[in-house]
Amino acid sequence: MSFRLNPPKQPAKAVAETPAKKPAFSIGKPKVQKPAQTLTARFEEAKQTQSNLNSLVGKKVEAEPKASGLGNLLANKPVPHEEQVAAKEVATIKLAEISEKYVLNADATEKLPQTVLDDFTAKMQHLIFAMDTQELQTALHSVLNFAQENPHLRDILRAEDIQLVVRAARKSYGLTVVAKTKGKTRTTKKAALDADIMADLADVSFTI
Amino acid sequence: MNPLQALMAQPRLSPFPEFDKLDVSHSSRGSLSSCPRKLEFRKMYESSRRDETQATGSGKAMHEAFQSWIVHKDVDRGLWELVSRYPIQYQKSSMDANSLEGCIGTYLHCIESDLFSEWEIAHVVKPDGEKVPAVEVSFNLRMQVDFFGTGRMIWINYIGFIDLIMYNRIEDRYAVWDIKTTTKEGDFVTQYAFDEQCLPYGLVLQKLLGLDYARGYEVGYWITKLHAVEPYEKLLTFTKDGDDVIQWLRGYLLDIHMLQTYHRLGFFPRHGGNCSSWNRRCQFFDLCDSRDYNYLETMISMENVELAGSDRPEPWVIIDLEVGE
Repeated sequence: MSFRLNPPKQPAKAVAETPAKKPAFSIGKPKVQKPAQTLTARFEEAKQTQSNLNSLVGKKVEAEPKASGLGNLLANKPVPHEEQVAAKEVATIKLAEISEKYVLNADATEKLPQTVLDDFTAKMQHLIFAMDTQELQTALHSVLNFAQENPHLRDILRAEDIQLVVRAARKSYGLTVVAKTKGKTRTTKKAALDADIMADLADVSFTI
Repeated sequence: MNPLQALMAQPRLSPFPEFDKLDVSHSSRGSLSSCPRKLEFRKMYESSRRDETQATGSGKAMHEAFQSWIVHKDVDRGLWELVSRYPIQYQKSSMDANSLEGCIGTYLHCIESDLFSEWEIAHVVKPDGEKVPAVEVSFNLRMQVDFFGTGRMIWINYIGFIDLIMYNRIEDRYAVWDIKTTTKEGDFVTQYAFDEQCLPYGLVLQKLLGLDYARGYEVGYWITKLHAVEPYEKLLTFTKDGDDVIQWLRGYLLDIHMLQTYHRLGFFPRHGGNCSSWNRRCQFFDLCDSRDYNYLETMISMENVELAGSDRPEPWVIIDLEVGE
């Protein structure tokens, strides 16, 4: 048996697209040929470098913030630094802002009855209150369930809502890890206790 | 004339209508193998019933998250994809391996994989000239078949989606990757060594990247085990070549022939041993007692809902197959 691929009637454009090749194994910065220096000059340069390093001792060096992309999740744009900073302020977001914003986005809310918006707002508020409590998972699952039942809610979510949900999801994961690990620790402790008892028993001897 | 030939020689028995095209993809072949009646309900009556479970839903959500991260390299963006697509309605406990929390732990673990120090997403150019990352590459391998034996040719479409086409920047080579999520340990080598899902992907690689599939192409299964605390991931790779593609095509044609026979006879056999799977009843169990075409057609058309628009893209890699001697 044989088969062949028919050539398309209108041949597609050149399709192979190889990602830009990276230089093979270039670790660190490329070497730059420096003009020949005298021994004294090199010593002075080394001293200066060392002095710069010493000045950093004891100081906390702030790393560049890592792009999170949340500010432009839906727009598919790179995240400007200002938006990342704004996203960090979600923790202190005021409840009044949360409650109001769902009625501001009038175009998107046409598809959603006001009762749905009110319920969703209440659930988001509950999520904020529950953020640092054991209620978090229940509150998060309630929000996600509600969002699945009302898929149009996705259209009115803003970056800070998404940030809130993502943050809650991370915390919820953390709670599960703690719960699972706690169970393990108990088991380990019990095993260690058993081992101690057995070790004690091993020393027991009887004389008749 | 043997009894089967006698049966086939009878005038057309089938109550099923003739159609202009038939989609028979990898999952259809799975249904045909497990119970042909399931395929009858889907293809002959076009039932819109779908069977989503926590396992299938969490797998889809993980696919979305990984694909997002591999393209954008943005942890939170991928996490949002996971959280927003996870089928939370099925979750019983956050302690389950495939719970939302288990999936988050797995996602955060897997994106730290060493694999990504050498593998990156390949880019391909669509027929309209748009350059896109090779994620969820949708293709249609199609052929014309005289399905009804009347001389009228119809299109048989094999529609598939390649999870990822990856590029190894150190060794300068490409591979197709299929993302697998699991909650169980297993002998994955045995499970995937002869897996047929990825075999036709070689044809797509040839079309998109000019690689000669007959000389060999690499298929990777990126296996991720879901667990909040102890997730793991590993990549299993197999090399396939032209012989594998030919074997796949033979098997596919045999399945088409089987479907032709069932359609002609108006009878799709039931595999009674598979009415329950993973402790769940088949979604067509309540209808399966009947063989009355009119009754089933009425019942299914009454309950059919318009399927929510699939967020999967239309196939844009079209490959016409011509099968000969």
